Amino acid sequence: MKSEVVPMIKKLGSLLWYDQEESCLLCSAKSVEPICSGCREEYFQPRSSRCPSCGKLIGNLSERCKDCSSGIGPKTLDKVVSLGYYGGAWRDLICNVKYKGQPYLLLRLSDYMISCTVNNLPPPDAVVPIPMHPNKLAERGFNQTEVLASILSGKLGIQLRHYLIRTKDTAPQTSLGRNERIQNLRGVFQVKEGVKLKDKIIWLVDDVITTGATLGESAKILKENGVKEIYAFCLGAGKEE
Amino acid sequence: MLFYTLINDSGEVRFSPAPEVDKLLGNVTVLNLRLPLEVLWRNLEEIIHIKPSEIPTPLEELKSRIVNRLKPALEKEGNLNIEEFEWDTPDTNDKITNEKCRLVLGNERLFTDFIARVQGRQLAEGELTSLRGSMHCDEQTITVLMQKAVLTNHHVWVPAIRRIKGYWVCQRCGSIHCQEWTSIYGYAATCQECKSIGPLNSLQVLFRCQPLQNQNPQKVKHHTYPFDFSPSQKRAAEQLLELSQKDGVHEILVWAACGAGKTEVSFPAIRKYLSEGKRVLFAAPRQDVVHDVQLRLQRSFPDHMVKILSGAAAPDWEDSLLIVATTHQLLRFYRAFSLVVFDEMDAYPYAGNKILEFGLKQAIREDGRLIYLTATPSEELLKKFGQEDFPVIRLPLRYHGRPVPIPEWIEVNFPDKNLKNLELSDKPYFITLSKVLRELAQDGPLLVFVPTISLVPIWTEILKKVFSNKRVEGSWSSDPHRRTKVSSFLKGSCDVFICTSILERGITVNKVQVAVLFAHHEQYDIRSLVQMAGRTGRTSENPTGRAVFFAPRKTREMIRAIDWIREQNSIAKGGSFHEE
Repeated sequence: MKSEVVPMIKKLGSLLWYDQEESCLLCSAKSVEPICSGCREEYFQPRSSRCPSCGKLIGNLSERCKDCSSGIGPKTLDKVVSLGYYGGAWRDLICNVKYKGQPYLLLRLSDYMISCTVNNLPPPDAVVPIPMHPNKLAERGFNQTEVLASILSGKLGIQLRHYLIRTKDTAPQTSLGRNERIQNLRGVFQVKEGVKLKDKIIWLVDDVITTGATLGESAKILKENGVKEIYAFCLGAGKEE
Repeated sequence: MLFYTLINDSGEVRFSPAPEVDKLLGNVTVLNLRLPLEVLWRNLEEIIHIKPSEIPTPLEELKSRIVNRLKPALEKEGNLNIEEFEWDTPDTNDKITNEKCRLVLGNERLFTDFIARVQGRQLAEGELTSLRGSMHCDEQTITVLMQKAVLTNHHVWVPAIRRIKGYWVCQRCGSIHCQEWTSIYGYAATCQECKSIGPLNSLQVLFRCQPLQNQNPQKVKHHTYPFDFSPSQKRAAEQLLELSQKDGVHEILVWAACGAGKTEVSFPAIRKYLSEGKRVLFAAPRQDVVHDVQLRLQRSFPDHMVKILSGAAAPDWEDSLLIVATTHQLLRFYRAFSLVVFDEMDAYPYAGNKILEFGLKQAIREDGRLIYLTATPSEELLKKFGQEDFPVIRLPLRYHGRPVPIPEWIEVNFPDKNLKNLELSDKPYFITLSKVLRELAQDGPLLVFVPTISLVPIWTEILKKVFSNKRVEGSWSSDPHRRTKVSSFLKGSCDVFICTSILERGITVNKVQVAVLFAHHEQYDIRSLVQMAGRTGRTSENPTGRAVFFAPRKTREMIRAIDWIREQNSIAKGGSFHEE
């Protein structure tokens, strides 16, 4: 009897105290926080600055990354912050969320997302996710940027607004170069009919920024429709070596 | 993958990711709305199961019944923008074109190749990329082939995770340990149990393939085995071969002493199955063991390709009669094997066992046999076996004919289970402990077990001080350097090795001496204690050794473990198993 009861209790226990809660999301080492201090150091690099134009991690020596200094970065965003360096285990986690049906993992990042945005960006009127094309959304069943935006919205009490729609099902940006990315996105986003954007301050939310083509293009459309300031938040960005 | 709802002329409702295929192979009408199969199954369950006599005529009524069920469900739970539910609208661009379908359906060779690759498997959507690569096909082609197989070969689509009586149940591993989340279709869930071989969620499907046909029996050259059976091994192997052919016997338990050579005992039965063209799976709990067993099998069956499956990598798509795999790989198969040899099933905790039982039921053919090999059968196995249909073969004598060393208990009053203070040299318990450990280390390499991962680095440091002139290493399951450290110990280039249960089973090290620290820890049950002690005296050159349990008191599990080994030894000694 005992031999059956004890494992049952253990099992119930593990369901209650969900066993993964105690280990780091990135390296599975024991950790009180969702991400252990070693991994935070490695991927969030708290002492490294971000390029204000594209969110890239740039160390402390320069003000902007090389691309943005030479004028090829996005120009329509007032400031971009990125939580971490899009590589290694941090990249794996983002891919697991997007491609392996695990959006709930993002909930465990909420504290990091909040300190990253609140400490670096001015308060907005609304938080706006980058939309996905309906076809892609139908396949995946969720939009990770909307999950991110709704976390920020819920925790900070900022309105979540779907101001943008995506009208074209484009090729994945990852397969393209910088110029092709900009080409690929031309005319992809539209502002929803009837929304009033004049003089608004907006936080745009995306999962990853690399060249900034997606965020830049959507910010351009929003500004053309009267938005005053646009700040962007993403989970991952590149790093300048 | 998303599915359309279809109705054929006789009012039968089914779902297809490529309705063009259904249209070409029969007359169907299609609802122009793609949804996850789980959503369709859940909402249209009654309609799918309507008796033929109760199908409403005209079919228009059936069509509107389907829409009337889906519409409110999606409006209530989901976040979808569906303007109209329409039947038989012209093709939209996301459907596979008629032309493409004709081309693929006409290619019989491609279809035969496809069936050969997938038969006996249970494919998750994540595995399709690798299948596409191996067949040099695009995504649409594979979808068409899959739907053709469903319509003509009785392959089936199953939602990967289903909501059954309020629980999400993974259809690959049977677990209810699923994480729920909100999708645009309403609630969805991702299985947390079988994530290690690729996460599955309820918006996805499994493609279950038809059972494998046995291959034609081939004349296999009778190679002799590259090892000698001991008399008791030979007797057990013959018994196992006979029972594995006997009608009415589906499961056999081989209960052997640690170090009895139970793996080889299964070889004659495996050989028999292979010679009949039947597929065999040898499943073992740990990767180290899988690689070791693969070598041994390959040497004994040189005419066959012995394949390895392990980890999260998708399987390759060539067929093979003999596969060695880590146990979770079972979940990738469906009615594929005539014989499954399951090594050390009790190495898993209770929950893990349930998953594997479920996986076994799916992977084995309906007429298949199952052989359990273990030194420490679980209570459940012992309860089940022993009757006529569940025979037990015992092999209590070690390969070399000498008894298993009986573990000793040495009283040591550990101050604190999670001790952090390394300054202990003056503590009385530590003097006893280090004295005994030094004695042990004089007789051979010393394997030190500790119950938790966090104790490994602590005791590695402590023992480095005790054995300042020896090579001391420590490792645990998630240690990134585990492989190299373990192999250095197995090769003899490390004298003292501290670890968790990772080396509890399956390994043989000449002259090894075993120390179990904190043997009273709840982590250690009778089975793990027996297994740890069973590492000693395994080789013919050095058939003796010491296993010492260090603990402040003798727990029930320790007493039972010592009794267990005594009993095995006395059965072995009791005449019939004794070797001249």
